[in-house]
Amino acid sequence: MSEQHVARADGLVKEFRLGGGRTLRAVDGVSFEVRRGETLGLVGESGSGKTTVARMLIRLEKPTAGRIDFEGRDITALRGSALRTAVRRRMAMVFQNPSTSLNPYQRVGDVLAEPLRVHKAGDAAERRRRVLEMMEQVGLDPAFAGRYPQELSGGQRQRVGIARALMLDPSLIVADEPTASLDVSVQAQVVNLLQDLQRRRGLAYLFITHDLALVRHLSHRIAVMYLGRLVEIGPAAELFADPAHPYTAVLASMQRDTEHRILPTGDIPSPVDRPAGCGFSSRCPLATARCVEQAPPLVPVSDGRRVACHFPGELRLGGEPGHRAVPAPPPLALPVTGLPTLKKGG
Amino acid sequence: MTTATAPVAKSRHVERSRSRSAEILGRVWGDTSGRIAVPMLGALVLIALFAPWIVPHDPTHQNLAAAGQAPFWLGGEGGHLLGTDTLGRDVFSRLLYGLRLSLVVGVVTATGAALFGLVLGLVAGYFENGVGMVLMRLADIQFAIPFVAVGVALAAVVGPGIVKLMIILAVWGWANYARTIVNSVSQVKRMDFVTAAHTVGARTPAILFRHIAPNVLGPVVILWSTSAGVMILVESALSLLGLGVQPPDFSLGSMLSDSRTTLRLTWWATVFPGLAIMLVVVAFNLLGDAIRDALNPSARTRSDPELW
Repeated sequence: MSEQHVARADGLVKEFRLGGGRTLRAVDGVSFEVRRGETLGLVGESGSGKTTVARMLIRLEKPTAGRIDFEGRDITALRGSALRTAVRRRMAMVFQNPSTSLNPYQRVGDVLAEPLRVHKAGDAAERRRRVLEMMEQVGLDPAFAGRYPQELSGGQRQRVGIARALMLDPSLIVADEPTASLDVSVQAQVVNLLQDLQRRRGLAYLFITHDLALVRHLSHRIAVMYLGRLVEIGPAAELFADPAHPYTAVLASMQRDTEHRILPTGDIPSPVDRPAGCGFSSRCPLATARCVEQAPPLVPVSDGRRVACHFPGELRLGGEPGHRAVPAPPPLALPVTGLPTLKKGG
Repeated sequence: MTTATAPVAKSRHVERSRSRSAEILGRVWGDTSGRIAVPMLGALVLIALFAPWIVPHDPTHQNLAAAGQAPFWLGGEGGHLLGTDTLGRDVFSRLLYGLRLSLVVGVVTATGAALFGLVLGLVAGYFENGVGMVLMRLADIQFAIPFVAVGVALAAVVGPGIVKLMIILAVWGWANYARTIVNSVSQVKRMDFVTAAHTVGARTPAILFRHIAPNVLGPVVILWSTSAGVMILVESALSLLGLGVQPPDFSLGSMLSDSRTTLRLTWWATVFPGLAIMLVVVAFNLLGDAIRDALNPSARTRSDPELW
């Protein structure tokens, strides 16, 4: 196996058991790989399964089916100390909300020393040195080591979260909307920090977000999820400039002038009794009978790009690519899910 | 270079953990209720400790000729500060001695029950669908059984005695603590910082005691401080049934039970031990409030950055 990728997911499925014998298939056969030193952006609306994919990749959840390779090793079913050395030591996570991801009863220095202590790295003095060093690296005053998280600002807390993820020098960081709960000005600082760290350490990121402007700016490649499936994956610039899947086109059109935005109609299907065909067929402007009956497989359309659509590239974007000075506010929530109901109400 | 700095850093580490508990004590003292509770409890403990040198009379000496004398400031004869009981024993002297046993019973049983209940509550909340279910059903069953019945039965098996009673009280007390924290534990275990601890590879004991326990400790401290008073009273009730302290030993509680039948004649022999119990209970409650606030980092303005 080539060592070009650091992690690879193959046919991941996650089902949650609901009451009454029903199951919710949150993730339905997702395959992708994260290459060394790259940022793979994972976008999709709430409930599309992107967080579940991330939680499986870092083995907080066990996949119902499928296989996960990490650093050339099958980690799908690892447990105990094998899991600890193969995954916990080498893969880290940055959380969305730094206020809830830091224990309010732990001083910053103890938060950062914990990964070292768990993996028995160095003695107390050595750990202390590494903690203070890391704080400087992420732009935190080492004097904050004795402070509690509540005494820090949101941006400082997220720097602590990032520093914690870096303590064991991982090869892959799973970042679940790490900027979503921060002020816009602080967002930019945190993004710059993440990019800077990537360049210096050759880190790979799986970056989950619904902030399209941000993901395009930050990612080398982007994977788009819809209703538990990967609908398109490819290089970031290409994917947004020339989307092959209608859902990607919808997302990309949100970056353009208002009159060129494509607003899907219809309701989002429930992942509990999911449609037999394409998950997007009920809302897709191109949908035909074939789309409703037969789910399109994820197939290559060009070099490095794969798409799951019977009519790839047929929904075209109008207008010029918009340039926003600041990362946009969550653009998906209102246009995609809100407007149809508003129309009905009006 | 590294070998030279290591011992220095190590000693700093030790110093740090010492000053951290000093920091908490300092905050207890800085708290209004703490500043009342600490001298109050301190005085009570000192009085109990030095009782043999303070008491004016032998607390077990009976003098039927001097039975039922009122306190001297109510016109009683014999110059007894708090009068004498129906057997002519000096109430003040007995009160000081009774305080010793009561304080020990209150603190030891409440602390034992709190530790036991905290551990079982953490386990029950963390493994909420397995062991937790069993534990909480056990707690339900235990709540349905009156303690006195169990106490009588156990005393019949193991025999009466204050140490045995304290062990039984401490073990029986777990359910209250466990039930109080079990829901908080299962909430806290779903919080991001616990997930974060999982992602760095922390083991279950570390997650339970380092991450979850501090976040559910507040109610445990409050329960501990109130139950210290309750334990003193329970001990007196059981001593009345002959299950706890055996004469000639006595506690504040057994003084209450001994004298309650002659309340109309010698009310001072009941009222003053009662007041003493009240003082102890109030002092514990105030201390509990102060400790809870001191443990909570969000209640403080700013910590000492030198402490890490």
